Amino acid sequence: MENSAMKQIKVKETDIPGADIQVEHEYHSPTARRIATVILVFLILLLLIATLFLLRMMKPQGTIASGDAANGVIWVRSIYSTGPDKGNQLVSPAAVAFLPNGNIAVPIVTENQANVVEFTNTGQYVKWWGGPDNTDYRLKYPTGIAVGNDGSQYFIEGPNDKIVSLTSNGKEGRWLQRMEGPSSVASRNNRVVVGGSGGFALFDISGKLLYQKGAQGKGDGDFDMVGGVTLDDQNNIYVVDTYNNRISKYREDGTRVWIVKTGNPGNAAPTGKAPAGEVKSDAPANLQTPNNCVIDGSGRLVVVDPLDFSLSVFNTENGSFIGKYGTFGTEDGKFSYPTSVSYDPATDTFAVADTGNNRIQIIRLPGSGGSSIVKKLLRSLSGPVRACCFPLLLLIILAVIYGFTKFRTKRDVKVEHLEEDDGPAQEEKPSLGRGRKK
Amino acid sequence: MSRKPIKKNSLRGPRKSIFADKQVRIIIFICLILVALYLATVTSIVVLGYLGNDTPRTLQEQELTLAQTEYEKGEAGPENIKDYAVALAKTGQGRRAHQILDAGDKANIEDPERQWLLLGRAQVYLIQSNYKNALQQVDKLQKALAAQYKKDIEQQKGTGNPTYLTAEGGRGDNYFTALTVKAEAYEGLKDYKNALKAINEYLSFNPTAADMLEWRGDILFKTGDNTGALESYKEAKKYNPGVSELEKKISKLSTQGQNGK
Repeated sequence: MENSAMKQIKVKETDIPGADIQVEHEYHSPTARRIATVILVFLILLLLIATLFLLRMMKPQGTIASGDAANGVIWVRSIYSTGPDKGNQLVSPAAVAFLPNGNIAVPIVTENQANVVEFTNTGQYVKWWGGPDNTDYRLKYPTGIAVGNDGSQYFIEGPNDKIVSLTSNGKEGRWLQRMEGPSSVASRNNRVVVGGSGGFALFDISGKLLYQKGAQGKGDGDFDMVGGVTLDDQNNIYVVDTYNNRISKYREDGTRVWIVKTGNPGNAAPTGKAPAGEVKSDAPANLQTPNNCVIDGSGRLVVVDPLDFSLSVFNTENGSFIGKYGTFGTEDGKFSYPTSVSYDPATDTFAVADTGNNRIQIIRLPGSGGSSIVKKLLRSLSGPVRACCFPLLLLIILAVIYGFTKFRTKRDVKVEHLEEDDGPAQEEKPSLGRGRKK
Repeated sequence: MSRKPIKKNSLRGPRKSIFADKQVRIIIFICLILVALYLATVTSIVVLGYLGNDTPRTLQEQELTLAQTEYEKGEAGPENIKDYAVALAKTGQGRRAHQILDAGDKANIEDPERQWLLLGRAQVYLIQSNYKNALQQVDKLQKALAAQYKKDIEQQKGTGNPTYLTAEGGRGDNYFTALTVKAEAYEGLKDYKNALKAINEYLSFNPTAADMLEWRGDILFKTGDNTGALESYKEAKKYNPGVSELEKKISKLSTQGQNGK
């Protein structure tokens, strides 16, 4: 036994010439090292298995359309219900908006009144509201929703010719306006734009009407049901003229910048002979009934088309068509009569009211978040990757603790050497305070 | 000058702990860091709602949640049992699906000829790519449905013209679902002739079923009948316009046809 112990001891350094020899030994136990290595390998394997199990648990179950099958749509998740019972299921959601905190608001119409249901972006039900009871602000039939930068909410009630603004908690009314057949609403900075059957109107956030533009018709400057409006950072207004099948851009003062054709008006056949659905347009987008729209993180205009089951992307500088994403289907990642779209720049995700499939889909589109490295990083951190933030933080904390301990040890050694150099008298002196006593 | 004494752990010192070895200490430290990082990751995942969040994310998870809720209420009829079993199978829980169907079989459920449970079992086998067993179950189901149909006709004879039985041949949803299961199982076995037979039988009752027309086109394309496939796709497009996937198929076959000419 003694022989074995001797083998485990190795002389590392011999120092200080003179009568006494200072020897520092390093304990070396091959058996202990082997055991520790086996433990490490076993632990790594165990953690790998546990990680695989974890990933399996996190993976959504079911058929998810991706790539060509989803026509380029990148599915993130779907929201179906506020609870597990049949009565908790979303039924034909027709409007959706991101709230400033990244949560999602969906108006749900019931028999007598409507409520707005809030979900987290991971699909968990948070709460509902519907405006103050027994007042004109109480929501009854909201057909569109918009949320301002300050969280103020704007609802249009098409059948009631009403525009309602609520406070950010949805409990108090802010202002109320009347407008014939409002069909779309958007808010940004200090402006609220509302589309109607024959044009659009611009309000400031206090509800004051700034101007109304357009008349119902087919001519240039006319509109036939504005199914979508949105604003960009410069308060330029984008208008989707659903039945005339065209989109246009206006400056804040109401002057038109451009107008482009996106398909045949009302999906009508030019010759009157082609059956419905057979109509092809010379417009590159070839849309059927363009509807709701939003500006994405790259400053592009994204338009949803319920009858084309797609999201089309346009250049906001000149209205040129960039691309089309999405296809018909019931699988997650596909659409059935999508009617409304909203964009969250923080997570670079779109929320789409997939009306025919009774769900809200959270999706991504290629190129929507911009191409800068910072934006790409933020985008990746907005997904499940952000779950790595806590471990990373822990690693940093451990590194800091380790560095600090090393620093203190070095300093203590220095102090000790100083004490030794000063001779025996120093031993009587009190400690330097922060140094470790031996 | 004070000098340090020679340390006790010299040549013949007492046996030391394994932690006295620096390398061992490092390895143990790495182990602890790994465990801490893993626990932090799991905590992070749970806190951020990526795990432990039981809200359904996909259509299949949604169907499972609904079916499970109904089943757990304890009032599940044979159709609910079928739905629950199919939802389980779709989410990769085939064994549990069969257990549920077995329990349904054992329970005294009022289900003529066990139609729903047979259909459920056929669908579960189909999801598990066990095509032969799926076809066996469909055969049993079709026999049960035929017997039921005969029984209904007999019952209705005395009450005048059984008009409701003449609609769609008196066949219910189960009959048509069984046909789709049959077609899919034969397709899985690459028996396209029998798959087409099942689809055509379906279409003889529902000639405007666009998805079935498209499916027929897909199978005809696999058999090399491009003309038949194109016709079938065009027919499907009539009843389901604006579907980009269908349009792509038509355009692909049309281009091939023109090049062939």
